[in-house]
Amino acid sequence: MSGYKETARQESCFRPGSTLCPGCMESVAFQNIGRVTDNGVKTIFTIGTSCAEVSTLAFPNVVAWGRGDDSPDDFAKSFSILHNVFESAPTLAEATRDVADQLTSIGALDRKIQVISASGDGGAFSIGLRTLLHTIHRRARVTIVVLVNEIFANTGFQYSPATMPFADTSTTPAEGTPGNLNPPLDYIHLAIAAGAGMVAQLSPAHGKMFVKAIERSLEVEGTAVIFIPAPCISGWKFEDGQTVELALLGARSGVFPAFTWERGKGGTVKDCPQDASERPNITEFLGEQRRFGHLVGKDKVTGEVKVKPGQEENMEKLTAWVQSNVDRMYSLAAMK
Amino acid sequence: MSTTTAGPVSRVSTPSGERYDGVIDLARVKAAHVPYYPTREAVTADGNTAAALATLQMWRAILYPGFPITPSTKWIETVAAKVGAQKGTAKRVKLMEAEHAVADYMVGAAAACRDLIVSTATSSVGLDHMTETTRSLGASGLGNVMIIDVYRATANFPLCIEGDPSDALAHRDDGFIQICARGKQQIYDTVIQAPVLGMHADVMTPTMPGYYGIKDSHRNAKFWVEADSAIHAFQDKWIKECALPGTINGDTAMGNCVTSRHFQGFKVAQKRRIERALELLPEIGADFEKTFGRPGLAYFDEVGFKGDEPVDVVVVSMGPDFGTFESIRGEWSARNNTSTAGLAMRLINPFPREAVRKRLANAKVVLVVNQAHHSGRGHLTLDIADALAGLDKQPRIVSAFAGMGGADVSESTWEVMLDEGRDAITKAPRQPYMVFHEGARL
Amino acid sequence: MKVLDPRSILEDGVLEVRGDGKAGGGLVLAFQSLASLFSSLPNTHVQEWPFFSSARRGANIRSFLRVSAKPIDVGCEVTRPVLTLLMDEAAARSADFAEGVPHGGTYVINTRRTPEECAKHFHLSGRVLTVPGDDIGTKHLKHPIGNVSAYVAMTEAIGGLPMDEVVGIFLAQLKKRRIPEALIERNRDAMNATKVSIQSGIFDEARAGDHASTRFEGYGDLPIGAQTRLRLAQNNKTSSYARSGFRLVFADPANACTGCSHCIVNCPEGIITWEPDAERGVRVTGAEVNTFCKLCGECIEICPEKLFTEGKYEEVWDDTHAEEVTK
Repeated sequence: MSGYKETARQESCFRPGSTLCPGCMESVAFQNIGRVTDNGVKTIFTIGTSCAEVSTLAFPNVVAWGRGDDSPDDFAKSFSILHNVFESAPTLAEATRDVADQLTSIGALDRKIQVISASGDGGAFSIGLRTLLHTIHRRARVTIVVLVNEIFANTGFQYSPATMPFADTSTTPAEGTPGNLNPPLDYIHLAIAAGAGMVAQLSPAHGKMFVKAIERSLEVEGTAVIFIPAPCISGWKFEDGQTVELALLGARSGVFPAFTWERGKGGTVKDCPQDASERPNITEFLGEQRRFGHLVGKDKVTGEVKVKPGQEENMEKLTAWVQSNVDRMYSLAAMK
Repeated sequence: MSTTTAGPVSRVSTPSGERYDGVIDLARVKAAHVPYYPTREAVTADGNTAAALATLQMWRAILYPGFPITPSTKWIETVAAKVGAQKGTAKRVKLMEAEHAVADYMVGAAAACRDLIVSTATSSVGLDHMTETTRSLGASGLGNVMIIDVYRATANFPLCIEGDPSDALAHRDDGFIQICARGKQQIYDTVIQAPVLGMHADVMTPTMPGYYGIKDSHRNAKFWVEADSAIHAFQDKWIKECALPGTINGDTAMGNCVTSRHFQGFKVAQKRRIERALELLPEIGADFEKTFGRPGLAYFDEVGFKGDEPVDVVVVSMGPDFGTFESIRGEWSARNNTSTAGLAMRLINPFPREAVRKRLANAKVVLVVNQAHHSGRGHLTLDIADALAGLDKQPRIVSAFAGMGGADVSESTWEVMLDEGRDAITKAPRQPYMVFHEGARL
Repeated sequence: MKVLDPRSILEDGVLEVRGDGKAGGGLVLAFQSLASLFSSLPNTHVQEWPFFSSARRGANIRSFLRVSAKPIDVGCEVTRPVLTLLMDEAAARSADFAEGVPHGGTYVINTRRTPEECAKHFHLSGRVLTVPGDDIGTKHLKHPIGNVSAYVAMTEAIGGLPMDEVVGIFLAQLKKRRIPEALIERNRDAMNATKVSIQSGIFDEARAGDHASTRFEGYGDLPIGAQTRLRLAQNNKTSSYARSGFRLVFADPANACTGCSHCIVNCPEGIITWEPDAERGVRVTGAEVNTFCKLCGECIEICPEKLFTEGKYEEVWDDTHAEEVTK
């Protein structure tokens, strides 16, 4: 199976009925991961505490998972999901993989199992950095997805180590301060350094690439890690219907460039030229979000996004950070 | 991607989702077990080895996650060496980066296949580091998780590896069934029986057998190791295939969030399951004794009781130091013309309140010897006071601390504590609790 | 039926107030403003808190308030409020906003409908106040948000509160939330407009057993460790998360769908319906609008042929079909 339209026709294991916000990118990601994994292999998801967990697994009303409308007769269509605390999704996935492999090597399990771990950036990069890096380090044959919305959305939109510079969060309030001053953790580099077999940064906004990356992640040797930039309508504070658009703008303007990499083969940055003049201006991305409302404003008549008076220096710093981010992605792509 | 299909699968509906029977062939797991002891054998080894051998002999244990924690918990090293040395083994050792990761790993592995036993050993700050997940595990229904706790003071500022049961007693509310063992034979036997209790369909609660660090973990003694096949027969008689699906053989969601309206209900249900362990533990213990000819699981070991005859001073304590009391008991009783008896607690969570009350009802004085750090009169003292509450004729409680931080509890220390117990027959104890060491009241 | 007067209740004892709304709809702000208003009065004590589940924007939420002339010691939930607010008609689909309200209580409803219509529909006995808050919001704040009006109507229901203080306290709350000055002034206009739009009447439409407090009848059979079956979500009709008054509309009269599949792939709920098509691969036929569509608008933005739009929507109360979508 491959191709965008073909994927659209697959059955997803992520069902409607979640209590995620309208337009949540995590939801879009799960829909598509769910479709790609409808490939005749039984899927087991492990999930860390996050919006995705509390909004999809709340007994007795909501378990927004499972393939088909009813429990499937076909074992390959069956589905399981396991949650335990904030940070442990990669470890749970690794354990699941090991038990399946061990049973298979004994001859007690002859059906294939694919295992996917899902966490948010708060869970993966703060409290869960240990588990993330060590599961990668042990080369566990699992796919790890990290939904990066740059905040702890579930607990109230606090700063996370993936928060971009100058963003207003509930713990870096842009009131008398310029917002977050800490540049984000270099998580892509960390995943490569820890020994990942495949690393990608892609959101479903890059439909075909995203689908192909998830497919590939199920096949590669070692651990596949996919960071999914996930615009958060409630935390980034933008208008309805802009989720996919912002995911594209953020990627194209250099905040989270589309990136795929495989050990031994190297990688590519797509849809995000290294030369800033060939990219959309970063202000287009910022202007749609109220978390940057202290930095830029939209002209009511022309719709043009302008830097607010007094914020020129911060804007320069932010622009410089974006360029360094793009340069870094190109240098990572050159690694093998 | 191609799909392999083999073996017939039948789908069974459970309240927790679908179970696909036939996906995991447990008979093959059992058949893949390479015995460590084809026949019964006497072995001389330390407590950690006794615990390791017991876990290795179970066919249901195929994955051993662990993390090194000080010399007092040399369990994973023994397991690794034995697994490594065994040709054609079906077992695998998994080295994790932290105790927390070990606990998380056990959740994933135990959930993947609920018919396997997943065990590790830890101690002190290691158990503390696991706590976030052990508290989850307590409620999880994953009775196939077993953490062997080598008792040590929870230590830093100052740090020391000596053994007292501070860690186990501080973690009683994690929700594990906690059973204390003393002596190598009891350690070995307890590890074999614990998962039988935890995996029972009515209980489904993880277990934490434990023993004193250094005092039991590091002293060698002779004990009987049963044939692997005998252990399998005993465990298989009790452990039925889990009715609830695991993540591999199921279509299910585990570790769910629940709405506020139901949360309390789940906490109550958790309490009920662990209470059920109180009823089942003696049955399992009796069957073990019938099978192997040695005492099995019990609420406590008792010494010196003659039916329901009144006793002047009854000692309640736990661990290997109780043996020192046993060794001086006769001589001290005769010299002081005071009858004595004793209970060495084994089931420390849930606390067997009713059984303790019944056994102590005819005591004049109960001398409780606590060894764990406690801000008040002692964990055991409070439990005993609770057990005795409401009796028409209240035995007087003397609360003692001795052996804290793994300190030696010498014969003279026992004697001076017993002297306090004797004095309390006629007058109230001089303090709410007293600390003893080397024959002195501190 | 004796109408219970909220004002005299708070002077003699504890006035208990409850509100039902949807997350993101301003219910919390309305209750916090009420609490601030009473806090600012001498010898008045308040207790105010919201209750959220794990649900996100658009899901039902509740707010609670106690007001008294004496210090408030009681710590349990408000289950028999004398004054209750329905902030959003859609919230009444999954919660009974009048549950436990005694006969003669006061009901404040943010709706275009009349007090009489509401009393009949919801079976209310007592004083019913209505205010078309969403329309006032649309007019003055360019956004169909009714919390400004609901707040004013609540103060009206309690009575004896001077309008300049009612307005001043609310605007101070907005300032705290860093709302721009121009918008704050428009809120002032909205409050003044509310004052003259409130309708009220006294009705006795509740039948025996209506709005009875639900009795605890045990937790039921709880699965061990909360391990559950999958797909329970299908009971959770998330279309009620959509902004009230609007629904997604799909129309393709010219058969223009190109089969690009962008809407299918990018729908967060996975509820775009389609049929196989020989030429295009797939042809989109609509979406599960009445069950799961939260009206996030992604399909509206992404469809190259503009086949999805946002339509106005009003629930029809006296119709068995119960739902109608108008363009």
